[in-house]
Amino acid sequence: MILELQNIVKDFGGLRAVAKVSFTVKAGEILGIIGPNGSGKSTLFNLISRHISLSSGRVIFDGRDISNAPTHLCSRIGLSRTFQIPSPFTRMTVLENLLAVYSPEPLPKMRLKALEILEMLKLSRLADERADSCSGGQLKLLEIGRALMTDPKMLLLDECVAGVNPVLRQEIVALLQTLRARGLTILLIEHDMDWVRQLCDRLIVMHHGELIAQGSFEEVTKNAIVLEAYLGA
Amino acid sequence: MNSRLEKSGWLGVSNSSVWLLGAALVLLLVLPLLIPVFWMRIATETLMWAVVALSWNLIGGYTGYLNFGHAAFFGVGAYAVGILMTRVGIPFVLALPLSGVIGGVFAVLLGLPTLRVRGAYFAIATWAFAEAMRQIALLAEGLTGGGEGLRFPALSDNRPFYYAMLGLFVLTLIGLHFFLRRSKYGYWLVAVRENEDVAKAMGIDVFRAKLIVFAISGVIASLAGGIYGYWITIINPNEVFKILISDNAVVMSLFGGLGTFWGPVVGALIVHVGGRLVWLSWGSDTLYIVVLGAAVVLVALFIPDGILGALERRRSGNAYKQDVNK
Repeated sequence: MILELQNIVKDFGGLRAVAKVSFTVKAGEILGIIGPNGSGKSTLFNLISRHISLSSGRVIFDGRDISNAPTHLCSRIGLSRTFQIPSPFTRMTVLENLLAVYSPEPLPKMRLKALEILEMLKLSRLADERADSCSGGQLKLLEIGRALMTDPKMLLLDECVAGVNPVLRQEIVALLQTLRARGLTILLIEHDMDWVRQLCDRLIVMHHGELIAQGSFEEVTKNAIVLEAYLGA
Repeated sequence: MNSRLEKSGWLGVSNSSVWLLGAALVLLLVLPLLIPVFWMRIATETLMWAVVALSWNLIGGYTGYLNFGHAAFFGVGAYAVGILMTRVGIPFVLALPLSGVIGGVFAVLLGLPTLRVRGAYFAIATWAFAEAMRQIALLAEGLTGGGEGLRFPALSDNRPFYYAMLGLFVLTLIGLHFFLRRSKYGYWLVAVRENEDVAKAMGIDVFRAKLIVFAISGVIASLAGGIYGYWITIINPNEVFKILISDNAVVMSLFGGLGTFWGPVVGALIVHVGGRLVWLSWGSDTLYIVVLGAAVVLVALFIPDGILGALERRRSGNAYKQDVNK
């Protein structure tokens, strides 16, 4: 077990965005979070990565209680994330974007690592182009590349294929499988059920801030409560 | 691969640039032999403004925190040197580095509360701080001489001050080159300016990075103020803490290009020398302030990334959103 959430709660004023959510993520697993818009998925991510503070509950990552850790520490201990809306540093080149991360390594070594990652993402020829000249799909890859620069043990991917063309979607499936084979644990949020089915070992379903179901793709998609949440009731 | 980290030549500066910089340095070194005293004064002032703008650009341009109280550091430097020389009896060569340390301490003390707030709040807080410093200097007569001013031992030769400013200018450029272009900090600062949440997600200790940069900015501005105080021989709070010093730093950086390496130097050259030329032609700088005001509006509207930013954009030639104001 690499990540454990214990009774996580987030209140925004009177609105309970995340209500007593508990689950665990096993090391080396690809776990998907699905749920209708506004069900609290991104808030959950922001809570895990410490971009917002918990109202109550605990987050344990790699044996360490990070419930009150400073945001930058999460990445330094191996928990890295991407954002739903790609947020490249637009005035930097693609290569420089990968260098703008914390690393204890010296710059020349970081640079070699960045070039390897760009090679793996098939972005090498864009290395010296400014990030704002990239396409939407390339920016999604750049987000993943930047997260990989921090040597994560676990990746949180927030809708990394939303708006991405079908060919690149399949490439990202292969990429994430390669990363998992190298020992990375992946927690992802996605809406595309077909894509999720190909990739995830297990799914978690959220609705109105609550965890309403978890299990394999088949189990979850046959679950009456899940169908009700998606089809409306 | 021709990225910023792997340019051929000396320390990441291309060979042609090294020749150009060398020639410029030689010219600056012999300049006092070539021009009359009047122009040497203007040259000294221009170097000083370049240093002040360079230090402002660190926090304002690279990190995106608009400091409207930069004069505070300049004034602290001037008073630190003055008090150490006249009240404590320390020679200038020791008083100046100490003034840098004091300026850095002030920056950390100001930064600890204010760098946690963004945008307008930081601008207002720093502006208020500079005003408070001016008032304190006016009231603490025993130490500062109050409104009467503080008199330094006079040095009749102007040349040492030209070379002191030149030395500070060159050291600042070399220091910033290593800090911004040859270390991770340069990347981190841009990351902080563009998106603090992403920077944090990438493991960057955003607050610490800002505080360090603010301290360096304060040190450099204090050193400039320290040399200025000795040069001008009498300082008073309304001069060395005046808002115009902060304004100048902002305008010069904006003109040259916020967050560009040479922008503040180009801006200082245009704004200060331009101002002196107008003053010479018409005998007043009132008109100049009108022209400058209009120019600031035009720059902000049409080339928000400044002269160097616009040149870089033209050279790189790719689609580029004007995102400086983000």
